[in-house]
Amino acid sequence: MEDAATSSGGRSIDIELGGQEVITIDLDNLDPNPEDVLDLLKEGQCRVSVWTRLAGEYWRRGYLAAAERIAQAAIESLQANGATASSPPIYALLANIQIALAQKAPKVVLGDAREDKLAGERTKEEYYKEAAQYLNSGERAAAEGGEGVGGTLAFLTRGIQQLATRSMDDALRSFEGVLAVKPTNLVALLGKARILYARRSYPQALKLFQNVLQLNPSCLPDPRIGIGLCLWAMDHKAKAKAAWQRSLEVNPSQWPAQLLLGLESINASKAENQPEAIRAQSFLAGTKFIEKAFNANQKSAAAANALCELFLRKGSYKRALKLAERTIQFADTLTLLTEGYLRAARVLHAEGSLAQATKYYTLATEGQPKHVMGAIGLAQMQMQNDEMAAAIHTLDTLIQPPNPQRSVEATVMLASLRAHPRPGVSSSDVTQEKAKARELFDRASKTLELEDTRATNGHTGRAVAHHINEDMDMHAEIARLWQDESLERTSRALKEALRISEASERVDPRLLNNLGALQHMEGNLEQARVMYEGALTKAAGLGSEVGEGMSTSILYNLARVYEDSGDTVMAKEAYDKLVARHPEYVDAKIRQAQMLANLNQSNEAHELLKQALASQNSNLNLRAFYTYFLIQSNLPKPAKDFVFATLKDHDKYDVYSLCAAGWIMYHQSRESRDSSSKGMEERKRGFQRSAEFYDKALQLDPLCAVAAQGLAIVTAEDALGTLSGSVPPSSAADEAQRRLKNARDALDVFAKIRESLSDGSVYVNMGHCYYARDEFDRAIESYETASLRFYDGHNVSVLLCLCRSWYAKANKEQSFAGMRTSLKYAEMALHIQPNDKAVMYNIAMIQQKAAELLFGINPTKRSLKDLEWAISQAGHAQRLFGSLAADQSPLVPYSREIADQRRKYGESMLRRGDEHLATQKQVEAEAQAKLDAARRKRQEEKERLQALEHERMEELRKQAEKLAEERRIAREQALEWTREVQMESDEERERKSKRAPKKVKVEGESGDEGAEPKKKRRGKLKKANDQADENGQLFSDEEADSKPAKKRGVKKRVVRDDDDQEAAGGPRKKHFKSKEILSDTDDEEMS
Amino acid sequence: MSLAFLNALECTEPHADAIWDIAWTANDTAVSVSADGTVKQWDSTSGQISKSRPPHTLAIVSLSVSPDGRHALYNSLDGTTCLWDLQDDNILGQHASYDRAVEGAEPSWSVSLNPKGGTYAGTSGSGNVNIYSANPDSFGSRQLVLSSGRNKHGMDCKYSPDGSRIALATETGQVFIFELESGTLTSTYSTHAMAVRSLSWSADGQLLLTASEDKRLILHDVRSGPSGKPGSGAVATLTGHSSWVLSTDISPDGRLAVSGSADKTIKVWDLAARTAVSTIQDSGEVWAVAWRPKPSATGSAGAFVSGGEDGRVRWWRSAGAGS
Repeated sequence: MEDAATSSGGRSIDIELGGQEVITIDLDNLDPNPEDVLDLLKEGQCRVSVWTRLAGEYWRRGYLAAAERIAQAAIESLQANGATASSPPIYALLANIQIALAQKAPKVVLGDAREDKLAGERTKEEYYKEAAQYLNSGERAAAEGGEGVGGTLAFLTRGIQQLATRSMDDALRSFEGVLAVKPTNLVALLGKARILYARRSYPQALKLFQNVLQLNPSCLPDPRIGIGLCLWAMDHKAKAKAAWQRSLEVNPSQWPAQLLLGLESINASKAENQPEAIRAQSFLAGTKFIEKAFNANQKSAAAANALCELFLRKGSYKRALKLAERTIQFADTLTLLTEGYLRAARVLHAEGSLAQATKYYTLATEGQPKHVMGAIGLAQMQMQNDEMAAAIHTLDTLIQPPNPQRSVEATVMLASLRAHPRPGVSSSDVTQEKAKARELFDRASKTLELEDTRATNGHTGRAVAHHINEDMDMHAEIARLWQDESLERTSRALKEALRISEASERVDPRLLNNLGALQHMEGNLEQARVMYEGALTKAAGLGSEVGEGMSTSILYNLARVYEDSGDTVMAKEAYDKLVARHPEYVDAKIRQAQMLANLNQSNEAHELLKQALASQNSNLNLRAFYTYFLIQSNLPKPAKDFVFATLKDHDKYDVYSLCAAGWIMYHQSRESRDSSSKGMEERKRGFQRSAEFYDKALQLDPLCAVAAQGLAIVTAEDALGTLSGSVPPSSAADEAQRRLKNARDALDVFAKIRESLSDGSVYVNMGHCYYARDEFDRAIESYETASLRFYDGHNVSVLLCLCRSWYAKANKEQSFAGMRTSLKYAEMALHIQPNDKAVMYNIAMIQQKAAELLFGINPTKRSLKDLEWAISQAGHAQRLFGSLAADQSPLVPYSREIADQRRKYGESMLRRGDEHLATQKQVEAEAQAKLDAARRKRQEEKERLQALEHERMEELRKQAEKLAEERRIAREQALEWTREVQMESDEERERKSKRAPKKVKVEGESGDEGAEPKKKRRGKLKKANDQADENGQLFSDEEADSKPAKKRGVKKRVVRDDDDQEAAGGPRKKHFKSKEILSDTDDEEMS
Repeated sequence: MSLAFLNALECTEPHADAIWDIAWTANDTAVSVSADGTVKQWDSTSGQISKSRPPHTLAIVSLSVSPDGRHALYNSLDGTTCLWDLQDDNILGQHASYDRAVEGAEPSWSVSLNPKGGTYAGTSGSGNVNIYSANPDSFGSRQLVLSSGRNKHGMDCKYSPDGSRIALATETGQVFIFELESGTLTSTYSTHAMAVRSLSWSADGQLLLTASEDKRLILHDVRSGPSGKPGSGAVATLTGHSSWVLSTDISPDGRLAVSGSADKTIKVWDLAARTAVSTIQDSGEVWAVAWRPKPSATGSAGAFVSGGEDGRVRWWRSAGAGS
């Protein structure tokens, strides 16, 4: 440039034409059209520097095309002049021009762009290729010219080219090469800083950017942008903002600062802890910045992207799509590209162009499979297209390792998808999917809770989290997922849903209904009623057909709760209303029938059930209830036909029907009185079929307690063996052995059934088993539980079981009290069911047996009172047996002959009654006599001892008197003696003599008072611990406590105290204690 | 409307077992019979036993006192019927109704003294009401058999206050009314389908209240029309008990009824309004309730006595009425 003299005033360049003419070109006033200049330059055969200077100047002014033409012309000119060797700078310039062009060129050109059509535009790629070619040509020229490859310019250009094409390592090498020669080369420094930034070495990058700024405060591109970015990345957001603001001040026309500030503002507008006004303002400011930035550089993908978001929000889909397409076409990083795809997808999604949206979402997720929004969007598209499995896969990929994304939205979505049953999925898979869904919801709610606590702790909770947590449908879905697993969880989820629903003031009646049902199942009838009633009111408010449908089932539930709380009138009213509204509503009809059956109005109930069956013959619930009704109404034959019809025509896997069939078959066989060989065979067959039915039921539902109980009964009664007569009666011992074992086996099963079946029958069955095992106490316990907890003591057969067990227990234990308890149960049973003559027979039997029992036991073990009572009871039993034997009724549940035999037996037994009474009287008289004698003897002995004691006391008293007398005499003598010796006045002497004994007395009292001084000493010791005679005092203290066990510790204590005498200060007591403890353990080994 | 009844008094020495029937006599004593076989008369001001009978071998199930409060008739589980003179404390008659040495004898269950004296009625297991002599010299001799025609156990029977009719309740819920003079069955009510354990006449003999295991009480209009046709039958159903209704009694003024239930409550009903006006929680089944026969002071709802599973006699009086 040495030829090009620069005038001191304006910037200009002098071109020498032919050696004599000099033309000065004013650089500040360039003609945009370079033609004239070109001619001039060509003519002047200028040197390279002139060409480059001029081209550079054009470039600086933005006349990029002109610059390129100048450069091209330069090359032509140089080649023509044979000065190719000096052409490399031109090539470098050309390469740089290509790179600059590339910056404004699209990365890709979308063939199917709808808004931003760039067809025909050259892509970055092409420009970069050309740049590379120019560079290569430059190098070649340099090589040919023999100037060697290299030089700062070449390196830098190469570096820039490499950076632009993302060959980071190569670029870094190039820049470092330059910096090695020229450490302050700004371009190289900036390049290196950018590379470091891209590699996330923010502090290092920051340093370089700052370095650049120091070297050239007005450097362009502005290093402040880089500084800001580094600071932002290092979480110094305020400083970053300041850097960008400064950049904007310095270069108001530069777009990057505007874009960044705009983004910052918009981000700030999302901070929830700011007042609404400030947020709105930030947003507005941000919008303006971004718009400006975009206007400044319409080819910037980042600006387009940010602006796109704004338009997307505003709903200007057309413009948003254009911007998104621009983003996609110009994006040169993956993130930006993905964003562009997503925005385009969202615009299209919102517009409803789903196919295209899907395409863009797919592209986005292909590029970045872990992008939350991309995955969610794609999943949404897939759901829209009913590709549930694909949607699940998409979301699964997102949140599963590797690199799992923690996205509550995606988690909740996935959970919901998994919870939803899909066609073609097996039932076991459905359960598995549900379990997974529960797990996902759990995870999501944990995250949400976390967010929640963070929010309450003053952190800014994410609006999204809040939004999700307030999604009523999600909670309803969670509730649904748990309803088979944990009612508690269901209830919790429903309550949450209700809370949200209440907040929105449009409470969903279904929620109230479900919560009511849960309360109902828990037995909280009152709460359930309130819930149902609330639901009903809300449902009525809905009006439409939906409301009508809801209120029907809610009213049914309400009626059930009325029924359960005993309000039969309200319940009946509700059922009547339901049936009036929907004559085919069989559930309500079933309840109507049940209520009638409860009043023993079987015919009316039967009529209703027949109607119900006519309308819904294949309703399994209805059929189950009808089976139950027939069995309850004591119609086993129709029940059997009906249940077999159910199994045959409707569902052969119906567990309820299988159990019912099992029960009916068992009952039929058990009650069969046919003793012919054919009858026996049939009986056996019946038992087998019963067991088969139960077994099948258990196969279908392994948790079916009823079937298990049925089988346990089969076991307990040995229905397949002894009871059916299939096993020939063996020896009694074997028989008993088997009975015990069967009962034991059955008990194991009943114990398990008890856990799941809250019914008196289980306890009754257990009682039977214990009874069979002769464990009467346990039998009684089981029966009592059944009677009190389940039947309120009103179940006659259980009362009779208790009667029988007590009878057996009393016989076994020879207990008269047991007999009376047995009698009491019999009386209770008869009182409840007075028509049962068998109970009367049992009463007579117990009365007789009680007397027999007392007759059989040793007189010393019975009382006359009991005996007399028992004899009168037995006497009464005679009359009862007589009455029972003489009963003329056609059917009596006992044998009249045996009653008569019993009476006769009693007669002979009671003949010995008087004899027993006599013996008893004699025995008791003797016993009484013995008792009296003993008592007398004890009395005498006591009196004798008292007399002796009295005597001794008298003796002592006398001795004391004597002693006192002696003392008195001695005192008088002493007094006499002093009187003789001293010549003091009588009064004085009197006083002294009085005082002296007093003093003696005080000292002589010892006991309590004596302890006091010692105590004081101990107190002193605690404070004055550094006294020399400490050891001695310690000992005395210890002795005062008189606990020999501690002595060993004392010695040690002494030693230790010497050691840390200085340290020993106030808390002596504590000190002692710790040592006492130690002395028992470690110290011993140490010493 | 709601009324409050206060537990005014409780007996001092309870029965060893449940009380199964109770009465409040015209002399202001209470008589209770128990499952422990004893019968006790209580002073209604002190709650102390004034007279008692040694225990019978079996539980006593039924009790009936004469309108003048002089006699108490009671019957045991097996059918031993005794007439006790409450004033002189002696047994005027005893009859073993189960003794089938007597032709056609059948054990009595529930017994009722004829308010006019001379006879008593006893229910049997065959749906009959047997009328026996209550005279000490011929005590227990059967004079009349009233047959319902249905072979069902008679759970309760009661003479109408004027002694002209007798009502029988059975284990299947039917209620029969017999005209004594003619010895005919005049009405049958099948309003209950489960056992009716207790029934009570209104003082004017126009209403009969039945208490059933179906948890309900039903009020029957039992007036005979001029043509001799029976009354309109069931006129009100009282629901509210959650288990069997075991006992009932209509107050002397006919306004209220009291009921005892296996749901361990006592309920007082307003018969005109047909609603429960008071519910008292007890500790066990309330087997027996009886109003004080003396009409209450104006403005007072009166007083009644109850006995149940715990063997304690309790006196209740309406709050607000001075004791």
